[in-house]
Amino acid sequence: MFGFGSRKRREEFEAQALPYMGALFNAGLRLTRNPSDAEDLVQDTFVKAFRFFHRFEPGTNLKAWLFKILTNTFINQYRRRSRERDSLGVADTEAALDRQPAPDFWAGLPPPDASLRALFSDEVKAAIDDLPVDFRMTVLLRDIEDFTYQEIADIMDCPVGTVMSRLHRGRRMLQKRLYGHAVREGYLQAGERAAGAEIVPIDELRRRRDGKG
Amino acid sequence: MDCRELQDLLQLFLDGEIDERDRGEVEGHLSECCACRRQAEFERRFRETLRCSFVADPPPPRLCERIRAELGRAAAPRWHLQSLAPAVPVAAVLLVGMLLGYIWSLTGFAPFGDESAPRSQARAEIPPAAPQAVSPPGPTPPPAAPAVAKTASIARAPEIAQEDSEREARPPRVARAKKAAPPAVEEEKAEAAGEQELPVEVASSDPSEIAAYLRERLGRWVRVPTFHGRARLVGGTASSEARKAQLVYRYGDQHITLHVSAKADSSLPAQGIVVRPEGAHRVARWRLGGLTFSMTSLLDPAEMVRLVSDELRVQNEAEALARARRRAEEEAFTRWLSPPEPNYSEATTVSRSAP
Repeated sequence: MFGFGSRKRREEFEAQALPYMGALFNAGLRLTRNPSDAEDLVQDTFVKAFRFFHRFEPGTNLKAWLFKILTNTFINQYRRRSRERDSLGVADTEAALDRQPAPDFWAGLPPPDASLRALFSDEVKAAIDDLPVDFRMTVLLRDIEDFTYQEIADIMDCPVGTVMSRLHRGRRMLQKRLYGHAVREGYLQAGERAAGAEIVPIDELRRRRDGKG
Repeated sequence: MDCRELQDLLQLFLDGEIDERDRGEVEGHLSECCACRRQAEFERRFRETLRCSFVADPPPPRLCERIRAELGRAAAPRWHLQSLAPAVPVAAVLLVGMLLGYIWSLTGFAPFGDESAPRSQARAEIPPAAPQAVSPPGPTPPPAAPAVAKTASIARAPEIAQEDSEREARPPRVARAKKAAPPAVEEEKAEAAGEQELPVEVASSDPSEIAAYLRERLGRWVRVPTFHGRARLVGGTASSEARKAQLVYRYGDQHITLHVSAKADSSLPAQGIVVRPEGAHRVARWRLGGLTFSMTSLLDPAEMVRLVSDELRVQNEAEALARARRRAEEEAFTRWLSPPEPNYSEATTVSRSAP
């Protein structure tokens, strides 16, 4: 009532929840695509979580609970921005990716060493950032944060089937984009691909890149 | 299992979400089919590369501090400082004050000193939101040592010696207590005169400053009553070992000392004010929010009760408001986080082995 005893409660909360700050910040960064917004989002998440910490059931998954609050906070703020509302929906054209086989370039890549990883990191992040938000979040929760399908379904408030579908399509989009990147950077030849993927000669890729640049 | 069936299960298999029976079948097919094995290997490497290539951005160091500070603010009962500061509309305060004064003058009720005042009448004086019972004095209790005398052990802060009208504008000055003990008798005499300054560690008329200081000393928030600005805050002193705080107010040419104790005195009614004489002083005591307040002054008892009941009414209203707001927020949060509260039990987590 008077905030008495709140110090102990706060210490308890900080000890349990603050270790997830890094993960939440990274997710926030991918969602907002802006460090300053990500900080605000993470801060809002922690304040909300703290205020309703008594509603969290001890022994259950605190990380998932925090991610759910983060996601909801983001969506609520996000939905206020009508300009961006449309991108919440899934573009119909993306559905076509479902039917497209994956480019098979990864099989030809050497295991990523440290430098390659650093080179790739920015591109991977950029590729994730370009995904529609639902796909972005799903891929992030599964492939980076290692949540289970059920946990993702709970966090994003959708059926497990939707999680699987978003994951599948999100990965396809990533593969397509990163394939182009790998070719441009010379990590692999354009010929190293799966049957059915778009065949683009390396010279054509360079021309496209230079034309854009 | 044929290649098409494998396509349906490959994602579950690689994500470690497949059940044991299907896993055996998928593994069986992969050991036989080169094309599917190649695809599975590609998908597996893609996941691995994605995970390995993703270098997490470290959160800025200030974020942790920001969050801690916000949590500190969230932990503090926000309505304390907000509701007790100038948020109370002046007009309402005046109206209540006038109304109370009017009732007082009509009934001639004096909760202390007038043994004939009936209890029922005493109750009628308190507005509905205020405590339900004012205890009229029973048989005069044996005069205890005046609570104010305890302050004698704390040296007078020199800055406070000349309290003046500029105090509002001055930043608080902290004078550490020295253990100089003037003779208690002298002290009592001085206070009986109601003129001398009482010792304070922090001189400030700003409740939020005093609250922050007390919090630092006592490790917890202490509500700092403002008595609607009728009594002017002079300063505060905290005694860390006893988990008590003492606030000093100026009321006209009188001083009011308010002791706040972290212990709830169970001998006091849950709601109500008990006024008793202690030596030359009157001590009004009440409980609120797990704290015991004890106000010592030379004021007329009726005036003390009026001051306190007004303050309590405002506090109770603020508290009720805060409770209602909190309830509404909780309901909103539940709605926001639902439908139905997900069960994140670890037990439901499907065990995942590396693909």
